[in-house]
Amino acid sequence: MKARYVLISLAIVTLLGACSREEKDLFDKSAAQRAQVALDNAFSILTEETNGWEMIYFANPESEGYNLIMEFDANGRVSATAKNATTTNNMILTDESTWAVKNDNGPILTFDTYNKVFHAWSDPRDDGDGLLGDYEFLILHADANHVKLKGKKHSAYCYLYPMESGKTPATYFAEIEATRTRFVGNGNLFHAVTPDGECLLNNGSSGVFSRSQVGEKPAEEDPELYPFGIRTGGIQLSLPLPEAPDTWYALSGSVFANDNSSTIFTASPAAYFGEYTEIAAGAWVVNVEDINDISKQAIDAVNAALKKAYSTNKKAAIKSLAFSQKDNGFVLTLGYLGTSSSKATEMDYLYSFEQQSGSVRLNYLEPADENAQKVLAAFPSLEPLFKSLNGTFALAAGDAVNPTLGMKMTENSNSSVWFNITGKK
Amino acid sequence: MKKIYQILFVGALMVGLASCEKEKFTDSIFVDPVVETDTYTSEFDQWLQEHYTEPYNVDFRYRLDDSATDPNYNVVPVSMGMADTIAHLALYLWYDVYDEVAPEGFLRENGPRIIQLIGSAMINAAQGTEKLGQAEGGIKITLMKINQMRTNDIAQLNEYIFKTMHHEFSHILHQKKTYPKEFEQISSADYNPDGWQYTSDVEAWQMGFASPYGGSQAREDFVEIIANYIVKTDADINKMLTEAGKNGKPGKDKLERKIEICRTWLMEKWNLDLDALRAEVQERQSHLDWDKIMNLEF
Repeated sequence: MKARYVLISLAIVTLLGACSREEKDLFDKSAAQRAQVALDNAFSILTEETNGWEMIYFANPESEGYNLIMEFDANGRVSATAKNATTTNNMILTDESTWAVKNDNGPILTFDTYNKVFHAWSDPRDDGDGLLGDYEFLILHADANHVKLKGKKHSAYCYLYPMESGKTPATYFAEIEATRTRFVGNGNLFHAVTPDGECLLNNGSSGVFSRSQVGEKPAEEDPELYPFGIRTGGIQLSLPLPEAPDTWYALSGSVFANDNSSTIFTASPAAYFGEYTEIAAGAWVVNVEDINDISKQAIDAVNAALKKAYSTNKKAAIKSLAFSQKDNGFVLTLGYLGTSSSKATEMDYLYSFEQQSGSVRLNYLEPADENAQKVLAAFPSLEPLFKSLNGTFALAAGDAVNPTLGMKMTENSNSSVWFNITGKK
Repeated sequence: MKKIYQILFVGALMVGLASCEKEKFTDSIFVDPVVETDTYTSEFDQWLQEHYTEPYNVDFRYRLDDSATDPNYNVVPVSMGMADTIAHLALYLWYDVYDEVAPEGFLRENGPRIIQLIGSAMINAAQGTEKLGQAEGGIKITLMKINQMRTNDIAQLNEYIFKTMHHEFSHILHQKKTYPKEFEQISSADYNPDGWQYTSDVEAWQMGFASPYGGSQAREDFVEIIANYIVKTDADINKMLTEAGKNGKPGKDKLERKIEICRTWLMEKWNLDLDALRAEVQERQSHLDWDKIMNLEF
């Protein structure tokens, strides 16, 4: 009798195992139909943009954003054009290959035959990794205004925007380069001011921001990295900052702003002079050719003394003056040609540096070391030069988007005392 | 009552098993393949249909689906230009050779069902190795590093493509019909799965392997013997055997015994004349006339 129960149970289990239970549809279309709709939508959007697409390509989550011009044909041909130092040796290169959209747990955009422009980031090279670039992407969003992708293997986000009509590759890449210089050249750093807080975005010239708290340097080990790309009108982050959900920040006046201007990237806070030396480890180079009369006379006096001391070197003269933060304090580094006609000798002289509301106070202190003391003793006319840079200065950036490209410092109580500085990293 | 239980049980079993019925393969696994006629690749796809899929029952894949590759490696697709070149060359140096030498329908029945081209190698930098090809389940052969081929360099083409194809195809053959145990015994003490890459060619020959990789394990040894024997010139084979026997080393004797086992196995199990196959390959690769190859005039 027991055997019968076992037999019946076994039969019922076998019978039920062959049945599949109908589940109630949660959607008005089947999964396959919905997938097909997504594929058709992506295909149409990519192919119907007649001017092609501007692609900001992040090879991997730690890679800077590269600019590509992509043109998708409905017959499966794709053209990719790029110009950058990493993969095209700064030449404009174009190549054609194939593309497709397919379903693989969601709509996928794939570049499935080799394109020497596009796959340059994916080539494993000799180390098996290369630049760790993806060529298959999940299509996260697609409409006529932008497409958002996520690399299938290395998970970086990439963005496509319609190209402006009538723009040639040469024009486009020239504009991108000019924009890159304007926005982030010389290692510009930004304050990201958001409703949920403020942070610093450092190392802009590398194409990958290092995020830190205001007043703090980025962590030396495992810094928080936020790669970005440059578009002619703004900055495209690969990932949003913790403080703000947006990734696209358009230039609006002298700041970059998200769509509702609730978050801005600003490069012209009053604290910029000090932050650039302390946080970004940059130097402010003083323009010794275009400087106030007192300093100019002091420079001339020093140059005359140098030429007299180094009479065999016709080029003996001051080459550079630059403010920076070093281990021993805030210094002015004097570079001059003495015995050598090409290699400048550098000496550091300590200054006190104080950030005031909207101003910077500088005051010459003393030579930073024994050698600097000897040089000062040999050329006493240096001291009037150093003191000519004393004062409390207001700062005015030539381009508020990127003060490192040039700022004018003007003494608050004596406007005839001024000098120009440029950021250098 | 007992009979009712039995009927119930058998009935339920039949209903259950009906859902497990396996599909049967037809002559071609690519039934009514559709080549789209209005795409960028239509012409090449149609050519592949006519020269690979229909005669040889093989899907020649040049477009890369990354999910079909080992996720531990980074690879890139093959360029369309190289895919076209290699597809023509493979007909000349591989498929047409078997048509000449092997029994009728040999490749259609036993050949790989899928050939996948990949532009780069699979590089394991930590081990200092790169994978140039692989065979999967007697069905698929993957050929790698295709983008870096120099089409006028037969030694390179052999090393990276045709030796690999013979190598991988031999895997398919021995997966279907096992090779003799006596082969494994010849070098059983010398296989080194983890350190083969540190062996030079001459050291490998003197141990009785056709290549360093042949020293990794017996099944690789077996297919490396066949592949190297087919594609290497007489001069290369003589050099290998001479070096293998220098200084009283046993390599020459072992290599000759292994070649003989492979020769016999191919003839007995597959009715395939290894020396005739080699002679045809050697004759063809001695003069690569690209105009004729690209126009299929051979």
